[in-house]
Amino acid sequence: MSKKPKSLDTKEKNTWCPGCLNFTTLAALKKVLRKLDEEKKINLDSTVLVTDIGCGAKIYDYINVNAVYSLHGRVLPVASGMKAANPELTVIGFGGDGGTYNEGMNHLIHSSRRNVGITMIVGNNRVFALTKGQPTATNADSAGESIDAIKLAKEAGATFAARTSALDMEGLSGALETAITHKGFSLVEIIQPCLIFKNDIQAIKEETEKIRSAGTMKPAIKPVWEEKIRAGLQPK
Amino acid sequence: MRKTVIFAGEAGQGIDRTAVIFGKIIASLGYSCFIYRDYSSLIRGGHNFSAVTFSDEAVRSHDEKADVLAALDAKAVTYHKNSLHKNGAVFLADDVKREGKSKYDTNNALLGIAAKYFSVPRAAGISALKREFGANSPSPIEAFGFGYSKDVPKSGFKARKIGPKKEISDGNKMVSEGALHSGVKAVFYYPMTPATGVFTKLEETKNATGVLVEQMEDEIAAANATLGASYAGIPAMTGSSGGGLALMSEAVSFAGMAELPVVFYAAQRMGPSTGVPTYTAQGDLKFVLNMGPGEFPRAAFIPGDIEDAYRAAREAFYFAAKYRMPAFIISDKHIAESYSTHGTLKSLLPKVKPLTKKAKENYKSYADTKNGVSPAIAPGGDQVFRASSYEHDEYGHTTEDPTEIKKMNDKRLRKAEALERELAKFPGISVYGKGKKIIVFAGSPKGAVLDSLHSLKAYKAVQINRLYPFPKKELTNILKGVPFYTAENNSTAQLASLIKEGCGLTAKKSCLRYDGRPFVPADIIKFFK
Repeated sequence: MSKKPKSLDTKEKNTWCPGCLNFTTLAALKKVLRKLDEEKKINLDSTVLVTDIGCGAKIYDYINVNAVYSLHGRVLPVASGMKAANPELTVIGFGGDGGTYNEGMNHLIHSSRRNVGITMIVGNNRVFALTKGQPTATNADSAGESIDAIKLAKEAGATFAARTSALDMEGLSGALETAITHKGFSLVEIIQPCLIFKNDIQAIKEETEKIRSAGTMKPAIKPVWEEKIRAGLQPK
Repeated sequence: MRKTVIFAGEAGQGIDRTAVIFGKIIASLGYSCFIYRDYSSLIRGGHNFSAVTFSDEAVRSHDEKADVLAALDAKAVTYHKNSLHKNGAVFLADDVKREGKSKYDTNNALLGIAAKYFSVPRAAGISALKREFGANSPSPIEAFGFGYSKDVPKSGFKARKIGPKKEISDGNKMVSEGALHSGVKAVFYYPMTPATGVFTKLEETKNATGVLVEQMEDEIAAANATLGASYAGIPAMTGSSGGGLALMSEAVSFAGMAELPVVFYAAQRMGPSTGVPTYTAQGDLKFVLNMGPGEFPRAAFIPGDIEDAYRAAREAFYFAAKYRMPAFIISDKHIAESYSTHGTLKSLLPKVKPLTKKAKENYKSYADTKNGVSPAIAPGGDQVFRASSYEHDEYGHTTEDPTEIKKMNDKRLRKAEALERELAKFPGISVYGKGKKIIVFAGSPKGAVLDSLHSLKAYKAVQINRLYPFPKKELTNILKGVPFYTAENNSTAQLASLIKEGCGLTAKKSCLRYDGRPFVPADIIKFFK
């Protein structure tokens, strides 16, 4: 199980609900990681997945790469510290809208601002699913405006921030590929329904179409945090 | 014979530095000295002072009553009207103020007067100033000479060369040295008094030392980034004070569960809450021991002075790495920001090395070993390395199985037992003096307690060097059947409570000070005599 025979599968039992769109994300991420490793754009041995907690975070157990199951909302600082400590690692954060935009929003703004060379993947289903469906900051039913984290991250300085959909495997895979190979901070938000607590599949389909027709953005080039803060340090 | 000089004035007038230079002058003659910094939470104005106590015998504390007041403003005279001994001398900035000179010129002239008052050889003062400002910096030396040329009353004290020059440092500097000598490679922090000093000191030298030092957006980020760096395989440290430390609680528990070695520098200040930011206390002893939800082992070392602070840092790094757990250096404002003369820094512990990426086939991140410690690797090799905040099996995969949960919990707790066995080889307590009755302390009351012992012949003092694992056996052996007391910089006698919990023994009484100020020997003598 722990051996890395270049299979990205694990033997862990998957506990997502039947038909959950997380399965799409899992498949897309595995496909992209495999492809990038084969193309030598990343090295699977040096790839680390850092997850939040909650439904989506269970991906920690479902991909056979180095991984850290971190705390709610704290994926970004853990991933940032790791990247700063060893810039040769490919660090991919994984969380939901609750962890990334509610609990840990401060870190999203600062990670964008710093342009740290990591990727943050956010499965946005607009609810805290594992605690039975309370609204998150992206939920129009919550008190207050819902947050557009893509706009916010760009405004804060993220050099790649893209919204994709779990209903669009191709678009999702493309965004993940661009994000993971991008040198700088990249945010990929995946809109998806929660089949149990927010099954607005029709609205997601419409939004998916809009996203598709809008095309993909190009990443911007800017100095990355881990290089800036290491500049001048005499290795000892 | 103990002598004390108070340098006082407004924030921004260079009080701290002037006092330290005076300490360096006196230490260059071989005297021992201790410098207490008293300052408010403001940037300019207010009232700050530094008390320099020195003696030909060991000095580990300052006195509140002074022989000299060097006042940089008029307020200082009013503020300290009761701080002087009967025959104490007051030197005013106005006595040495000269037209067209820089404001620090006055400070250096006051240094000259104070030096003259204690008959410090003029050359000793000039050499110390040259070391401080560089040989090609004529104005401080000229100003010192100007002050020295003034007529002063006789103090009856004749400073002379009594031994080799002594070094002066503060506790934060010692912790940063300890961290460097331990092999620290990454430090993430968020500024908060009085912990900040360690991080700024490491920041100043980072280009030469190669240590990654970075300020994060908040304490939560700082602690979690440190865990990230630790996972990447390098010795890492963070830390804070009071409320900042509270924000790190969840990360402490994460380090305990994921078994990531992280050193937390816990520099206490007067609480609760915002409390009194620039003043000292030992109100967080129990808090630090209980930080973080759940049950997991940790190591917690509590230095009593700056030499201890160096050793505590070395121990924290070493044992955190060896046992893969969070380790604390419990300091406070009084150790962190007071200066004193010290001897050579020593530790028998080896440097911590970054982790290797190599592992055998079928590597288990949480191998269930006899002593509970699982060999760690860094990510980047051909084996998968997992670290998890969720309960996990030996591979690091998530589990909710009751047998696995208990097994892993036991594995972590066995690390505490193994740590306790190894630490039994290191003194958990230190004993001073010979009296029958005992004063027990941990941390910064050390200076005042030890400097009082010569007046308290009926007592000996027992210092507790670590709070986790608590040195129950050693302490029980010495305290059982003997009347003992505690001296603590808090209002609820937390140390006495820890002794009760750990040894089942009750202190007769506790000498407590909790006005934000550290103990001085007079407090201890008054209480115990």
